[in-house]
Amino acid sequence: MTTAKKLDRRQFLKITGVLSGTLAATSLAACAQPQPAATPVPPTTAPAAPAAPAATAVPAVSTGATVAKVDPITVLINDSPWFPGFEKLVRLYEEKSGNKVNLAVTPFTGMLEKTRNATTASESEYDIVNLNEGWYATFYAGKFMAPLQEIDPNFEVDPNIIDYNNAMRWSHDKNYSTKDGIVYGLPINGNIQLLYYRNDLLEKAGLKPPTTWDDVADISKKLMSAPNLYGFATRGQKAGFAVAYDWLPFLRGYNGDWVAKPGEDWAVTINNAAGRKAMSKWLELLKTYGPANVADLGQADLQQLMLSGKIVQALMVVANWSAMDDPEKSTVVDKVNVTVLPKPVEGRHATTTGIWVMGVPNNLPDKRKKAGLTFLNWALSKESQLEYTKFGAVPVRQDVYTSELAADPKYRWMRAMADSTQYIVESVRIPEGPQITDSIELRLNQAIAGQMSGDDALDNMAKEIFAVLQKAGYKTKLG
Amino acid sequence: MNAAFSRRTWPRPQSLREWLDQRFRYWALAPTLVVLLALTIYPLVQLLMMSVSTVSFAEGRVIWQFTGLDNFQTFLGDAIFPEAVRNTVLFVIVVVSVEMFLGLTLALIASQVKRFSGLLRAILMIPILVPAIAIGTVWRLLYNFEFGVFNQVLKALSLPPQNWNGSALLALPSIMVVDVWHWTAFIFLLMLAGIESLPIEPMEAARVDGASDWQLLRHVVLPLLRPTILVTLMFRTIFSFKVFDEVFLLTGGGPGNATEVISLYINRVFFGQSRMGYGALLSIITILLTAVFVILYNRSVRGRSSAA
Repeated sequence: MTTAKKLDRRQFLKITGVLSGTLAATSLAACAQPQPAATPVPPTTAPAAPAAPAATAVPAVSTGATVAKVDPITVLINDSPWFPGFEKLVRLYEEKSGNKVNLAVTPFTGMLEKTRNATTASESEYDIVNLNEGWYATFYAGKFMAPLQEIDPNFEVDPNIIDYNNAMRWSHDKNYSTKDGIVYGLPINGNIQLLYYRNDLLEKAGLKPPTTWDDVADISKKLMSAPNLYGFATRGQKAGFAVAYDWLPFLRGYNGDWVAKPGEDWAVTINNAAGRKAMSKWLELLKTYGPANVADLGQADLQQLMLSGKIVQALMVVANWSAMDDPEKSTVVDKVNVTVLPKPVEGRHATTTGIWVMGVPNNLPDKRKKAGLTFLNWALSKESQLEYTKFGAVPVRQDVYTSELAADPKYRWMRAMADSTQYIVESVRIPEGPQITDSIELRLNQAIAGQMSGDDALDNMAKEIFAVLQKAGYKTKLG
Repeated sequence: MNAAFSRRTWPRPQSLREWLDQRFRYWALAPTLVVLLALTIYPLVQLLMMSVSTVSFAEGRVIWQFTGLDNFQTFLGDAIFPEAVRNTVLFVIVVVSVEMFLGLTLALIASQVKRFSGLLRAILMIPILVPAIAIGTVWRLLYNFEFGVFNQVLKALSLPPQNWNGSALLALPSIMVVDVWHWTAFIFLLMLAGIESLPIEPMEAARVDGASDWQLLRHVVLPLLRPTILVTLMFRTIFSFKVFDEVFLLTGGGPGNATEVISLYINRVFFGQSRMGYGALLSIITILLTAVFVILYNRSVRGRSSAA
C-alpha cells in the first residue's frame, strides 16, 4: 500500500514537472513573440512558403502597367469605412499581377500595439503597416519604417501623389517632416476636411456656397430654424483627436499655429492673438448656430445630422461623403455638396490632414521589403487610383482629382478636393503629438461645454504644450 | 502552518528519495508557483520596473531608461488623475449600492415566483449577455439629443430635451444608469443562487414561531445570505472600479473631465500618448488603491464577524 502510494507520488511529480515545464516554456515563448496576426480576410494563401521568386525589378510608380512577380505579402490594416475600397484594390492587384496579398484586418483599437509589436520584433510579421495621422511621426522618427529609396535606389515619389505637407518624409536633423526628409511611407487614404452644405437650400435662397466663416454665419442666420434645422457644426466631442482636429483649420486660417513654426521654432503660440481670434470665431459659430449638444457631437452624430437633413453646413472629412447619396442612409440624396473649407475674412484657407500612410517595416529582409514596395507602387499608380476611387475610397493623386471622373455628378466631391490640396496643413506631427492633441482636445471640449472660457482654455493648452515640449527636450518657450 | 508539518518533526531522511518524499507537499506546489510567477509576478515586476523608467521607441528598438522618481514627480503635478479617482469612487459607490439593492430585491421576488419563473429569470439575465459594444451603441442612441427615446418622451410631455451625455451634470449619472442596467443581472444571479441554497429549516421554524415576512427576511434570510452578499459586494466593487467600456463608448471621458475614470485615463496615457512609464506608475497606484480597499473590506468583515 505504502509502496503504491510512493509510486503515485513519483508519477505525479514526473507528470507535473513535465507539465509545468511545458507551461512555463509556452508562457515565456508567448511573451517573447509578437501577437498573432488578426484573421486574414479572406486568406488567399499561406503567408509562409514563398512560391514565387523575389522581385527582380520594381516598376516605375506612375504606370502600374507592369508588376514584378513577388512573394506573398501581409498588410496590417484597420477596419474602417474605407477598408472595403482598399480590399477591392487588393483583389484587383492579385488579379492583375498574380501576386498574393493577405489582409490582417484589425479594429482601430489595437492597431498601434500590433504595429509596435511587429516593428520591434526581430522580424515583422507584416510586410506593410498602415499608420494614421497621429502615429507616423513616431514610426518615422524611430526608424521603424524602411526608407523607400533604400529598398529601391531608383524609387522616386511621383509628383502627382499629393504630399500632404511632407507626410511621407522625415528629417532626422530637424526632427520633423520636411521637404528634404527621407521618404518612409506613402499615403493610401487622402482624408482631409471639407465644408459640406445643403446645396438645395442655398440655391432656393439664392445663396452662394460660403468662402469665409462670416459667410457661414450669414447663411446660418438666413436658413437656420432650430431645433429642426441648425446652421453649422463641427465635432465638439473629446474623443482622441476629434474636436481639436476640427478646430485646427480655424487656428491656421487666422495664421496661427500651436508653435511658431513647427520643425524650426518651437515657441508655443497657440494662445496668441491668432489663437484667440480662432477660438472666438469657432465658439461664436457653434454656440449660435450649432445644436445644443455640440460638446457631445462625434463623427457619427455629425454625419447623422447631415444625412437626416437637420443641418445646413458642417465641417467634416471627405470620408463622410460615401453615405450622402446613398438612399438607404440619407434623406438628402443629391442635395448635399462640398466646397473648400472657408477662411477668415482676413486670413487663409486651411484643411488638416487626417490621412493614412503605408510603410514597409525596417525589420524585414530585402526580399520582403521589395515585395511590399511593389504593391505600394502599383496601388498608387493613376490607373489603380482611378479604380480605387470607383471602389469608394479617397484617392491620393492630384491627377485623379482633376481627371474626367470628377465631371461625373456622383464624384462631385472631387473638385473640392482638387481645390483643397493647396491648403493642406499637417496636424501635430511630432512623436509627442498625441499628448499635445489630448491637451488641445480637453480644453476645447471644456470651452464648448461652457466649463471654461475660450481664453482660459487657450492659456491652459499653452502651459500644457510647453511642459510636454520642454520635457521632450525641444528648445521652446511660452510665446 | 500545522506543527505536524514543521521541519523538526520530520525523521532524518535516509536517502534522497526519502528526502524528496518528505518535501512532496512543497514540490506539489511547483506548477502553481510557476504559473503564478509567469503570469502574475513577472508582469508585476515588469510594471514596477517600467514605472521608474521612460520607455521610448527610437533607432528601431524599444529603449528603457531608468528615470527614478521622474514619473512620480509627474504624478504629483497631474490634475486629471485625482479627478479620475474622484469620478471612479463616486461611480463605484452609487452603482454598487443601487445594483446590490436591486439585485437582491429582484432575487427575493424571483425566488417567490412559481409560475413563469424560468421566463422571468431569462428576461432578467438578458442585459448581462449583451456585448459591451452593443450596449454602448444602443444607449448612445437612446441618449441621442435629436432622435433618442428619452428626449422623445420628454418632448411628448412638453419638457425640454436634455443633453444626457454632453452635460457635466448629467453625463456621469447617465453612465451609472447604463451600468446599473447592465450589471444588476449579475448581482441578481448570485443572490438568487444564494437564496435557493439556503436551508429551509430555520425559515420553517421562524414561521412556526409566528415571524412576519419582514421579520423572516430581516432576522433569518439576510443573516443566512450574508456570505453571498459580502462576496458579491466585493467582486462587484472591484469590477466597477475597473469600469472602462461604458465610459469609452458613451462619453469618452467628457465633457471635459466630467466622466474621466481611472481605467480610461490610464488607457489614454499608456496607449494614446505612448507614455508607458507614467502609465505603469498610474497602474501601480491603481493596484495599490484596490488592494487597500480589499484589505479594509476584509478587516471590516472580520471585525463584524467576531463582534457577531
